[in-house]
Amino acid sequence: MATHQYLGGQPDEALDRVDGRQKVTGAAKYSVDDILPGLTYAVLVESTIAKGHIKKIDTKKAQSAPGVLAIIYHGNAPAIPGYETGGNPAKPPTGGEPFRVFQNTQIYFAGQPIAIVIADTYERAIYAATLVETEYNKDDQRTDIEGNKDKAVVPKGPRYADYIRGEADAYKNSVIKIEAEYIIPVEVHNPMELHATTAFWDGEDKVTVFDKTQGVKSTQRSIMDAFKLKEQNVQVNTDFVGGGFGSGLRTWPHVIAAVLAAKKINKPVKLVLTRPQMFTMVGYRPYSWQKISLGATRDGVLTGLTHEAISETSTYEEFTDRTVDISKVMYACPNVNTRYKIVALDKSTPTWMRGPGEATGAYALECAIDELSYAVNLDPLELRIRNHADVDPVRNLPWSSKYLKECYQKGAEAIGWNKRNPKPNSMQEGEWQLGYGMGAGNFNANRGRATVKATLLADGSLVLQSAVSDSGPGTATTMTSIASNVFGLSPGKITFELGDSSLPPGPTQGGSTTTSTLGSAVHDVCVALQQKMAELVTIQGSLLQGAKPENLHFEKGYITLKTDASKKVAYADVVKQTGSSQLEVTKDSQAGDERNKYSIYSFAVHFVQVQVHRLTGVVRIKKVVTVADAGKIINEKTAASQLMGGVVSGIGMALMEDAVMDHRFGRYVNNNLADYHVPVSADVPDIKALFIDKPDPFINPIGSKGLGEIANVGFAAAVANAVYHATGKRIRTLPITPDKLLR
Amino acid sequence: MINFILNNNEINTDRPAGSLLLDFIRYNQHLMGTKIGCREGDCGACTVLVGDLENGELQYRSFTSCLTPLGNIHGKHVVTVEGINMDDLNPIQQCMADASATQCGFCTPGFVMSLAGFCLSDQDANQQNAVAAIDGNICRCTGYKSIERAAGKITELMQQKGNQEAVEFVTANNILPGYFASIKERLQKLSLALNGELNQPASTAQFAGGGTDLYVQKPEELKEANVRFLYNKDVLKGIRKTGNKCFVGPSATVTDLQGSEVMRQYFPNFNKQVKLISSTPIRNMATIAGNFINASPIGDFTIFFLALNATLVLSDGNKTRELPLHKLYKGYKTLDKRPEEFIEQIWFELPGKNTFFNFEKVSKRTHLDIASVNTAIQLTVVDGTITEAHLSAGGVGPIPKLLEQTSEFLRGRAVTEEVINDAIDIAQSEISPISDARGTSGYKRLLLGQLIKAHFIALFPHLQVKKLLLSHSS
Repeated sequence: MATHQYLGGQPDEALDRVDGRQKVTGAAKYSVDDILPGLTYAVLVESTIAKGHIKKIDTKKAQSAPGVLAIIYHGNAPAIPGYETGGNPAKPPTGGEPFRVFQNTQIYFAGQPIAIVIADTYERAIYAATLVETEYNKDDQRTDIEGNKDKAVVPKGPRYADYIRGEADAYKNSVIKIEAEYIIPVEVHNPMELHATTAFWDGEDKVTVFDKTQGVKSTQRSIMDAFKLKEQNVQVNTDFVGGGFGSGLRTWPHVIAAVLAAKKINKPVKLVLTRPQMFTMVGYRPYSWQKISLGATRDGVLTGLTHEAISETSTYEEFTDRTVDISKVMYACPNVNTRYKIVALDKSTPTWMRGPGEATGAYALECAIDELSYAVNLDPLELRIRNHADVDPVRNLPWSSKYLKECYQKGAEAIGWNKRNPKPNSMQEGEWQLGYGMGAGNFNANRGRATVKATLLADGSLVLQSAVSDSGPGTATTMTSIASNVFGLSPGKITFELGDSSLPPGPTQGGSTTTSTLGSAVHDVCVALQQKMAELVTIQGSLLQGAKPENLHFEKGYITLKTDASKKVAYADVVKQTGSSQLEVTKDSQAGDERNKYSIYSFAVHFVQVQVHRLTGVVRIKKVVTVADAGKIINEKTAASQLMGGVVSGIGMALMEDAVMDHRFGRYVNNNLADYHVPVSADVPDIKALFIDKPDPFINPIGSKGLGEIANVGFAAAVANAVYHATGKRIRTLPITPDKLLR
Repeated sequence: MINFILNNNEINTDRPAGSLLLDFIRYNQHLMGTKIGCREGDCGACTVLVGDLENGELQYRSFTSCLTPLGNIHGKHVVTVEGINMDDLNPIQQCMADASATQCGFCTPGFVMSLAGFCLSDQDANQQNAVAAIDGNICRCTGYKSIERAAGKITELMQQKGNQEAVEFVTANNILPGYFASIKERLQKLSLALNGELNQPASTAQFAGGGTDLYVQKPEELKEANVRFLYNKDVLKGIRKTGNKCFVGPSATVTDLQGSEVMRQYFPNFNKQVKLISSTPIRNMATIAGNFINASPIGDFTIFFLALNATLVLSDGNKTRELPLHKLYKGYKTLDKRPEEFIEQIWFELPGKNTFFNFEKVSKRTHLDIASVNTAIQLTVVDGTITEAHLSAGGVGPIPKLLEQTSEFLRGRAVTEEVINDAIDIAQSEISPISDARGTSGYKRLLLGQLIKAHFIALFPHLQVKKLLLSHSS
């Protein structure tokens, strides 16, 4: 369990991070940092082929290497009783059957774990793993979407059926037509922390797991399901999570492998993935081909929009995302249709990566909108305003709140949009061509279910607990802010505890929902605690007897009468009055029916200025302005950091990130941080992260929508559009590397 | 036995000299603030500081501990994040916390150490240098801006330093713990106590320089191997000028070159060019000879020294021989060097007043990246005529290449657009790039052409280059 307490005084602005001190001193403990007595080390042996069967695994040499405790593979692995996720609400976004580690001889992808070696030291485990000899019956693999698009199928389920509003393919009959294809290669989450799991069993039916996960409850559930254990017998801890971006949303096979290994040898086992394994074992953003077809009047009013996408999945699971969904809701267009298909390839299963399908889809849509703006000779900003969706065009419901037009205006002013020469290839600075571009996006603002326990202690301090994990955005900090405001207590007297599956169930951190979901629960539990305190202080013989609860005011650790501020009771005295050491309330909190009346989305717009070098095609982003309508901003510091981080994900997507596979072998050739480029500080320009900061009146009691995804949705398009404006060259395959501009 | 000071403690360990500092810190010492993100020197999560006496002065440099063998820190001071923790947050940490410069926090100790390295360095205290100090640290969450704001605040603190010695200043002002003030003396004592050098027998030993490439290639193998460490040998270090020749010690690091008076005087753009190469910690560790021997077809310094027409002195311990650098390479990673030979000396002729040098590199990322194509040129021009030329190019064939025919073509010719275009054509006939993750062969050919133009544009600013800018093909 991680315990976070704000250590400063009452801040005059946004709260500093409650975990900042632990992080800057190196004291923050990540899942790989636990050292247990008798700890042993595990290393995975991976398949060197992408498809086929294991003919034979010979472990004799490895088994007799010094320090080896066990080698588990399909030939000797204990059966894992259950793999079905059943009614698990946190089950992965996939159909099909999860990969069953060490349960049979089938090879689905190169890099698949086929054995696990456990030894007394890490070095000995690595060495022994090199001695495991494997023979395969190899089949020919298919790993490239290109050339296999004809094998694409519509995923099962109504959500993925072709969508038609008005007339299908109406763009064909329009005066102005744009048809363009776009490609995004495989991107890999690559959080800085490697995925790691440490597991130990207490008897046959009780296990404790330290894991890198974005959801301690969902990992607990997966382990319960796999090993048929009771909830109270599976303990999952995640004190700090070193980034996730989606890679920690699932319980991956390596986690099950580590738990299995610990059971087999009945000792604590630690398994840490290597950086290359981070490319094949914890998901990735799937390669996507997209085609956008737009029809419009000469005035730039959309008359038809068709969005087609083909994406990839593994042969054993159906991964799907919302690539085409953004085209349904982003603009007011009477005729919209979408087609979404997936191809099963001999690769591991993809997973959600920041902004997931929406970011993929927005890249194509927002580039096409830009292309249309030149076709109708209209400012891309004006074109977007002209096609603004005043209501949700899919459900024909009002937005709960939408300040996208304000975002456009604020961003355009900050970047100096109107000062640019709108003509492509018209602006220069020495050897550099200069360009401006924009892209917009939205993301469904959800609210899930969470339970928070609040405990008021005899010293008047408050402890809040929920089984959530924080992969970086600053959950404990935000929750402390919310509790401080709602409960009326200085943040220094509030402690937030998380990262422990035995706490009241909290949400998985993903899909831009944590602040909305958990924040609402914190709000509700604080209100409930106030109600309990109000009852206690107003009953006969108590400190404010006779006062009506609605006349009480809670501030700075005191209950006062609204009518008479001199009558006040310290929170601590309310606890003392009960005669017990603390006052507890646990509250389960979830959305009501507001989603039936309103469409609830976050919105963002990104403006960028780029330079493109005339001789070498090098692209440098010089300036970024991102404006978000994410409802009420609880903490401007953590929110701005989250927005800037999303922008930098977008810079990577636009200019660098590309996991290159050698399809002859089905293996990645740049599976390290030297060759798979993520932006470094020198790649990142001045970023202005701006907020509308107006509460959404309907989503939840705190008025906050989501932020993590929209920070990235539409950003890559803004860069591509700016590159077009700078050079007159439309690059439709990401990343925009110099070679593509020199062609 | 390896002896060094780790934070405030003397260490005396019998762990193998070839094993890694990172593993020693985490698994042996249980100092978990130093993080593992890649084990390849790419991410900076494992950054530590290494203090060493150079000419009697205590100097700290940032290292990625994942590529540092214990053998290379023998007799030195190693500082982890735990070693700069004070009762309260130190001002570096306070600036990071105040600027909200942490998100998931996993990269944070590495950034803190790089910034501590900036505070301990003798560089000017300005924002540019502070931000340059974190060029080897990757953060995937914050977007870097908050970290740069923290760097700005730290810079303000350091601007009070003036001419004071860095260690003296940071300890006197409670920026770093007081024990740093005693390290110089402790290292002096330690160096006297060290019983000669590490055991380095046998001609069969594997030579290791800075380790920045070797430990990416085969860390497991080296852990217990018989490694002969050249990095710490004072006789192999240093950069000096004798007559019109520059002698570079093979174990001189890139950072040593950057600090050298000779290089600064004769290559005024050197620091600007070096900024394109790798990152601060890697430049602190990587040796020039290591770059040569690694024989990467795209080694930045190999390309650099090929254009300088450098000569190597190879020694097997008894006999020495001279070899022009470009003759070292016989094929992909195949060298004209016997296993027992090591580079004892590197020398080149310093450019005269009519000699010009330029280096160009294109990579996808601004720092921490391997070039797609890199190239260097040295030209002597008398009265508008090229009298001597050396043009080198990397990433365009199996070996780092001196383009001998192109160089020969340029000799005796005037600097005109026609000559440059013709030279590019000849260069195309000398190269054989392959398509890989860094670009297609066609792109690399195109890029080399563009970079040759860039050489001339950079060296002859008054040259009319209209035609050069127009033509993309060669």
